[in-house]
Amino acid sequence: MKNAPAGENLWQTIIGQLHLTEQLDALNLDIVNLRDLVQDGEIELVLGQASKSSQQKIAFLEKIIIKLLSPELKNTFQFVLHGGDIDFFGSTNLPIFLDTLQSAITNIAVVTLTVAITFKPEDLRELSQEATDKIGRPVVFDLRVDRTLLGGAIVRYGNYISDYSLKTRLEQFRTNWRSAVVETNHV
Amino acid sequence: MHISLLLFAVGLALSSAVFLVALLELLFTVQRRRITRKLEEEIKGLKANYNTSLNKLVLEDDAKLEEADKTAESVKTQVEAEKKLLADEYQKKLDSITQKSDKELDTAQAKAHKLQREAKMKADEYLHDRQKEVEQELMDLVIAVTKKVLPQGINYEGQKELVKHALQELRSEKESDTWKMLRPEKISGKPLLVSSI
Repeated sequence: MKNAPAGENLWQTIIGQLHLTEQLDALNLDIVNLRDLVQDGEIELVLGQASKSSQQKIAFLEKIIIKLLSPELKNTFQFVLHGGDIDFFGSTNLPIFLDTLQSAITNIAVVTLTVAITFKPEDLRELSQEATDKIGRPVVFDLRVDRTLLGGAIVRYGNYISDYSLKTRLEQFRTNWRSAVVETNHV
Repeated sequence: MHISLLLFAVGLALSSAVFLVALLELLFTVQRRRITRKLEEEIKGLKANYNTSLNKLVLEDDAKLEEADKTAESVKTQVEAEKKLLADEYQKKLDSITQKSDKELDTAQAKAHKLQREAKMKADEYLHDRQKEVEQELMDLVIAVTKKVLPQGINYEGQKELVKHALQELRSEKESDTWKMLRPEKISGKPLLVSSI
C-alpha cells in the first residue's frame, strides 16, 4: 500500500471535492458501512485468502466500491484499485484511512446557503472554496433554492445569519421609502 | 144850517178824529217811547248782561283756554316724556337687538370659520390619506415590477457575484456546526452515526 502520505493526499482530495452536505451525508454513510465491513472482517476474509487471485480480489473490491454512495470516495478507491494497491483495503490501512477521513470530516463547517437560482456544480465548488478561505476550515453548503429571493443569498453559519437577498433589500427599500414619505408628510 | 152843521159836524168829527188820532198817536207815541225806552233799557240790560256774560264767558273761556293750555302743556310734557320714554325704550330695544344680532353674527361668523377650518382639515386629511394611499400603491407597484424585472435583469454571473458578496461577510472566529446528517438512513441494518456540536 501507499503509506500514510499518499493516504493523506487521498482524504485531502476527497475533502476538497466536497461542497454540499448531500455529499457529506453520502460519505459518512459509506464510512460507516465500510467500518462495518472491516469490523465484520468481510474484506479481510477475501483479501487474506492466498488462494484468491489478484483479479478476484480486485473484482470483490470493485463490487464493494460500486455500492458506495459517495462519488468522491468511489472515484478515489477506484483510482487506488486501478493503481494495483490492494493492500490499501486491508485491515490495517483501510481503518486508518477511514479514521483519518472521519476526523477530517468533523472539522468541516456547514454553512446553510439559500440562493435564488440553481448553480452549476463547478461554481458551487468555487463558492465553497471562497467560504473555506474565509473561515479557515473546509466548508460545505446546506444548499436551498428559493426563487422568491430574486437574487443574492441568505447565509447561516452557526449562530451567525446574514441576509443578502434582493428580496430583503427591496423590503428595506420599501420601508425606507415609507419612512421618508411619512416624514415628508409630517413636515 | 144843516150844511153848516153838517160841516160843523164833519169838521168836528174830523177834528175829533184828528184829535183822536193825534191823541192816539200821542198815546201810541208815548207808549212807543215807553216801550222803546223799556226796550232800550232791556236791551241795555241785555247788552250789559250780554257783555257781562260775554266777559264772563270770555274770562271763563280764557280761564278754560288757559287751563286747556296748561293741560295741553302738561299733556305735551307728558307726551314728550312718554315719547322720550318710548324713544329710549325703542333705542334700548334696538340696541339690544343690534347687540344680539351682532353677537349672533359673530357667533355665526365664528361657526362659519370653525366649519371652514374643519372642512379644510378634513380635506387636508383626506388628501393626505389619498396621497399616502397613492404612494403606498405606487410603492407596491414599483416593488412588484422590480420583483418581476429584477431576476430577468441579473444574469448567472451576476447572481454568482451576489452570493460571493454574501459569503464575504463570513467570519472565521464564529462557532459553526460540524456536519450533521440531514436524512438519516439505515444501511446494513445498522443505525447511522449522527454527530454534531
